[in-house]
Amino acid sequence: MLSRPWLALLAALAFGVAMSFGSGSALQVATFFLINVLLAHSVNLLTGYAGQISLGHAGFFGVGAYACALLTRDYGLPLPLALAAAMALASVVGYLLSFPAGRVKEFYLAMMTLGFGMIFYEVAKEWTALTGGMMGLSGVPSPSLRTLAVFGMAVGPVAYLWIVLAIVVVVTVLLHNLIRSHFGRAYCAVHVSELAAGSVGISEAATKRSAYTLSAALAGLAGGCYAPLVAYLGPDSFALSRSVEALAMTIIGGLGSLPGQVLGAALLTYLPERLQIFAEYQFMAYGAILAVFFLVLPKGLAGMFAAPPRFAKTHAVVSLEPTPIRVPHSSGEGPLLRVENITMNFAGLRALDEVSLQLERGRVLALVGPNGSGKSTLINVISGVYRPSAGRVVFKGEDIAGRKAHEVSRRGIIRTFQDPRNILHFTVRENVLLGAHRLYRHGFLGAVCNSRAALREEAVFLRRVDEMLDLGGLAELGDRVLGELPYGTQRLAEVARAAVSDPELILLDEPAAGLSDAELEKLAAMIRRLRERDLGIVLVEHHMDFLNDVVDGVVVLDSGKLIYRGDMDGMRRDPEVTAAYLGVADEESVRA
Amino acid sequence: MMRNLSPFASLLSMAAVGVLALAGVAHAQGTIKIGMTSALTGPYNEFGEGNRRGVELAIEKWNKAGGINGQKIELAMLLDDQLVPDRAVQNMRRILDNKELVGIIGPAGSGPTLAVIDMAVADGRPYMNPTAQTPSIVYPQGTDKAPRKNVFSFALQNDVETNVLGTYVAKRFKKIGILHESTAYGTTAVGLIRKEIKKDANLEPVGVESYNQRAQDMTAQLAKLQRDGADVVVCVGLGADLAVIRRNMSRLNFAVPLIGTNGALSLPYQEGAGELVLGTKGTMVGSFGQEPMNAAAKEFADAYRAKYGTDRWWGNDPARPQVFLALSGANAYDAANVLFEGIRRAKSSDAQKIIQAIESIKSLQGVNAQYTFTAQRHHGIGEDGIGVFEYTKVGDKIRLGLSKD
Repeated sequence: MLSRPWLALLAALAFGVAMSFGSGSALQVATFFLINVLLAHSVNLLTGYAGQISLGHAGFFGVGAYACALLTRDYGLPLPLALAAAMALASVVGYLLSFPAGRVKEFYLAMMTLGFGMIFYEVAKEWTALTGGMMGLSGVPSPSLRTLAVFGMAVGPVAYLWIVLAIVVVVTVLLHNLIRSHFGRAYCAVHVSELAAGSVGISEAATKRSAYTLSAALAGLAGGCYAPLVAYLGPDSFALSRSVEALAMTIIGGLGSLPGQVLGAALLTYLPERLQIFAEYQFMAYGAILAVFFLVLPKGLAGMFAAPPRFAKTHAVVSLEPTPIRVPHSSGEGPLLRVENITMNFAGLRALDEVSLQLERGRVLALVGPNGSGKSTLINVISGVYRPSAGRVVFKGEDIAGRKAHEVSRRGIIRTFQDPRNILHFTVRENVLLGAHRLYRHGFLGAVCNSRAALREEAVFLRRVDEMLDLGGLAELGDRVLGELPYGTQRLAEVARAAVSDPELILLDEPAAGLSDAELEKLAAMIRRLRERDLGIVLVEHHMDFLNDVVDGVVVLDSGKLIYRGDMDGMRRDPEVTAAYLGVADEESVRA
Repeated sequence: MMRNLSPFASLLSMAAVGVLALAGVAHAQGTIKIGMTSALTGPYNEFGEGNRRGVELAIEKWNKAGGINGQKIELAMLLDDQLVPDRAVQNMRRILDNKELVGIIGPAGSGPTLAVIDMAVADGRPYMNPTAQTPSIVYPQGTDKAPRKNVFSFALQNDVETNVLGTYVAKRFKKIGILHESTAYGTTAVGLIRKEIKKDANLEPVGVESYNQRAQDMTAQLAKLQRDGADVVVCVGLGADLAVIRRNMSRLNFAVPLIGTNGALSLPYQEGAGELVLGTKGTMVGSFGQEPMNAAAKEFADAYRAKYGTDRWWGNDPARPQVFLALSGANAYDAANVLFEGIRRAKSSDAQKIIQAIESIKSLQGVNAQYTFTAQRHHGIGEDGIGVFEYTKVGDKIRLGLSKD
């Protein structure tokens, strides 16, 4: 019964009504709480989903606050427009920050964002003509001073609470939709594995940019709502402590959980006030509570009180009868893939030496060779993870050597990894759906508003995911979180992910390693189904029996050189291959 | 069951939060109630905790004498803002919501005070500013214009302090270097000092440098002033920062006099700079430096020692409090006393009547000054109450006394 969205909305409504009868201070603290929810959502989007830690959110918050304050006070802009401007301005700042921020990671990123926060603080302090410097900015039209009017109507504290509550509800709903769309999945993918993200066509740089921009816009909105509430802005309100507090709300609430942000904001808004009974010990009590929280609730409040977040609009399948979308394969002339004289050097080591091969549509090519012979390197070159030192990779007549992984993937070349790279907190279904990323056509607006077109598209891909899950024997496990499932399942899920992306060329890097016999059969079934679709498959594998069943041709590498090209039988008889490889191959296939 | 929870249910928690927030407060009847928000805890509670003690000592004094016109006084709402503007705003809203409160004692610093002052003025009840030194808190249009109608200040106002400081250095030095903290307090003070030395001696400072509070190294700024050839360093800032400055000066061999605002006389400065304090001068309310102390100062000192002992706020000398107690305790004591005197004279809890009564106070002896208020003058401490103090060595003990020159 709790699962109904209207019930949650009712709760928000009840909160608003309860607060409307509260004292002025209850109203004011409630509004602070709502603004903190917005701020926590903002940090959560960037840190919780996209995995980019920020210690400078007070900067975005401050940009929004000063923008809203100045526009309403000095230019008489109506509040809704001022809030929109605050969001826009903050998002521009976030967009600009994303360029330097995209170049660093982890601690360095934390330090960089910390620097951004400090710069904002200094600017707010020194740019006296604009911000009033340390003396701050007084006289912001404010509900508590009865000086705020929206379109001619006076807005008091109660009305203001409702305005902010409405904003919070709308933002929460939109974020909920966003996180369950391919945009949300892309944030998580970039966070968990940039390689995997690139392999399904997600641009790491663009995704991070969009996360920064959006997160900054939300923080700007929070700041914009904050300015009228307090009526006075001074730089001290945007110092490091606010950035830290915002991050603390997000982490305590639960990284990556929307309800967690509401809980985290509530705790950090109301706790200090309640702690006043501890008098001089309250700072200590506060610190102790925070410390204990991380010990007993590593997943935050959300880990205790809320269901884990989900990342697909699974209700779309039920609610809409899908009309299938087909992605037409251009039936171009000539071979699908031509690798021409590829050489790859790593600091003096030649991993690939003038390797050439070619693959037609509808064919399965095995790539074999002893460990270290360059198989995975070749896959990495073709899929855009490495830029080759020399040579060309021609896909459908276009040289794609040196293109970024997501660009290669968007052209229809999809790969899997030697050790599976999945998003372990996604369900099996969500992981497989990630593969369809490059096929989505609906935009941001459709995603956040759950437009009919967006839901229909989601439904189509979910259907396709279900088919592939059936084929891979994963149907029962679709709703299980992947991280809890055995290794073989994770491998199969990755192959299924590659399969639903509707590739024209698929590169499978040792998909059979570690699979049981039953799982091997499922894998073979999936590969055969793919072959029917007239696409090319490159298969790196040691498992000869398995290869026998599925491949049309084989290429053997040894120490970076191509030593054999032909069929499986020919390979077994080839003396050079026998010398280089088969001696150990039997051993390995036993192990596999 | 948890599995079925939609994230929408998140918003449910808001209802619970609402219930939590609506908890009421109980009150005793028949007393005169006041409210206060201050930095009682946190890293900046030096002033806030002292202020609380000052107010409580004043209440005890009045209640011992039978209260105001027979009614006892009660500090009915005491809230902690930790000098954080947002928290001060929330606290002030709670205080203003409580219609039983007759008067308000404000936060212990300029930042949070600026954040709450518009709310307090809109409310109209008498507001006592114990600590915040920025003149615009009382005089938003400038010190020669009308004050905020319900705001009275017992702080050592920036302009008063800097006039004394400016006059003092303008008479004695030619190449004045200024170093200030980058706060509201620091930047306003510097503007005022410049104006004063220009007026008195037609001088421009040879250099003006700033630093952020709690900075651990000011060598760069000091080296610059040294290059500029300063023959005195005038410093506007907190005691702890001043200690860093003094140590850096010593390391740079920058042997010119250091003259500071009241921070130079604070305990953190003495603790941080140790022996180096010798020769440092500072402006300060003179009340605890005079020999003998005035009657009100004596009464306050005795009451303080009886209740709290000779602690951090009191200082090292058991015989008399450190001069700094004038601004970290006695100021709030005076503020509360003047508020109560106003209520007594008004014979009413009506805000307007109390304000008028306070504006009628003439030459009321307090710890820090003889207080005179009018409709135009809402600050209590004038230049006559300020002295220039100096650290000297008496025997092997360091003593802080009024400067001899």
